[in-house]
Amino acid sequence: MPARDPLSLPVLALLFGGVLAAALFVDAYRLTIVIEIAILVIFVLSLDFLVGYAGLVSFGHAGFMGVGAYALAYLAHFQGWPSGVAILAGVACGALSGIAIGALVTRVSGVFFIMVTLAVSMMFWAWASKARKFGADDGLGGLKRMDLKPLGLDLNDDRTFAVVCVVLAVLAYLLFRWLVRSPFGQTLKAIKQNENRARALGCPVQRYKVAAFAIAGAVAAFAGALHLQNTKFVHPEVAHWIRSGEGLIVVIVGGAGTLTGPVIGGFLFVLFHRIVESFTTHWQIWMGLLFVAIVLAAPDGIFGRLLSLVRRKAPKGPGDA
Amino acid sequence: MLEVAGLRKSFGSLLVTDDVSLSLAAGAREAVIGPNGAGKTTLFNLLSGELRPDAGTIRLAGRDVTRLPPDRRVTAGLARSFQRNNLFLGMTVAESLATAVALRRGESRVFWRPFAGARALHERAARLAESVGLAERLQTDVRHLSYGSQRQLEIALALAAEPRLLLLDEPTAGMSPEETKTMQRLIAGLPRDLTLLLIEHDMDVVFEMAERITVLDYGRVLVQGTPDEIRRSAVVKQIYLGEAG
Repeated sequence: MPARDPLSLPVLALLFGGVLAAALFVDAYRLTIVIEIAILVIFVLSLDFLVGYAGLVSFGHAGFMGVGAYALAYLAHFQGWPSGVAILAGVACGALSGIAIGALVTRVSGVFFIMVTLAVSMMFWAWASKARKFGADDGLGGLKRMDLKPLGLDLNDDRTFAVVCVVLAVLAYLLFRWLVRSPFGQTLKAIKQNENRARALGCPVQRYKVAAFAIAGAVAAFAGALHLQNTKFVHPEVAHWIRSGEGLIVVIVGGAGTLTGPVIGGFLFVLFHRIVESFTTHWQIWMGLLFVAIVLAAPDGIFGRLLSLVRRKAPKGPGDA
Repeated sequence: MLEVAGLRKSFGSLLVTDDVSLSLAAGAREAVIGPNGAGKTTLFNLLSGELRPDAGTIRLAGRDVTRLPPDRRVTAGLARSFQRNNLFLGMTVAESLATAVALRRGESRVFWRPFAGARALHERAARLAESVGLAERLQTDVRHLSYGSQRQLEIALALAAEPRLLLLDEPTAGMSPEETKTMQRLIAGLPRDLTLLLIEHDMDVVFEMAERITVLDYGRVLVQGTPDEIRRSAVVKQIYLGEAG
């Protein structure tokens, strides 16, 4: 309920506004940080939709990024499709693989669910690592960015590209906000809170889970395509489980089940990574320690913690007796 | 309304439902009683589809639903409440009921409109809350409700599915005498065309509510009859009401 969350608007305005301002004014190196944040935010928003709203803790979400990136590389590079069309086709592939994988993995639950999602995404990674056509585990370079010159946008200019990415991240946020507030989103929350009861109320639970997978898969594929557009390079690493794991860390640290949390998480993750990386090559150790510290101090994630602090101070509503 | 024939279910070598047959006419109010472990809740789980029977058939309003999953049986007109409160603990009363109404009306698929603005859903939710005495609690978080109120919400959720047959699994379990009275009035006030099947431990409730009673023991139907017949039955006295009776 909006009345219970006075924080999202100022926090998001600050973060998105800050990143957008950065996209406009910072130097070339820092622009890469901005782009990385924007793409990660799109990815983790789609993951949070699965984890935090549908209750599907997927450990293979980067696989969808791989689907989007490789579909784009194949269609644009080898088939000569215009990049824009190829990106949309990549998103469609993400949705379709979301349906197929969702139909498979939602038959199991708990640890098995986590392992199956991991296994399926690593199958994609294994295929990509051996696919000669795409340079196997060397990856494939020389790809092009989308041509938006008719719109007066030159995406080969990193500043323009960064601004477009930030705008797309904001749109992704608005898309998911709209979805989770609809009756459909409410039904997903019901399934997450009590699947058995939802079924006893006539809910075809599995169909809803598959739909959630399709949506999350489509958006993650879009993030993958955007990642490729950024680096102009496709590499199996895009689908690696480490990326799925990082996504989960960002969602959990930021606050699963809130959309603001993953935005905060994505922002902090990239900044932390870049800052620590400049001191030591062992940045993952520090990331791990920070992750443990945050999870201990704020089990609901950073944003969940902030929210409960604010709510405790605010006077309770009349019905909260 | 409900025709159950030769229902059988075993877990390993343990036969928990042994050749159970039941027949409820539309509008009937019946109860299933029996000692702990007699297989009452298993029978409900078979009827609602959470368990698949090994043998036998279940017909709902003439339609064979034996193989249907739980959600399709709800669509076919069967709803249940649970012995242990089985609720959406992260929602308010209004949200849970409106979610249930959306599922009933096929509006749970709607993704293009906000849930909070769905007037019809929330109006129906408010009426449901009122019908079980929770009108004042609409904006309360479900997890902050008293135990008795949670039991009432349990019934309201089942009613949101607009069933023709309602299975109530120990609606007064764990309630104080006062709460039990409230619940009894609530059940008595349900629409007369709603068919009711009730599992209950509180014999006062059973004898007051039910027109017919089925006694289960070790998964078998021991006796079926009117409350008077059950009260007089020597077998029931011996096995269920205790040797002393």
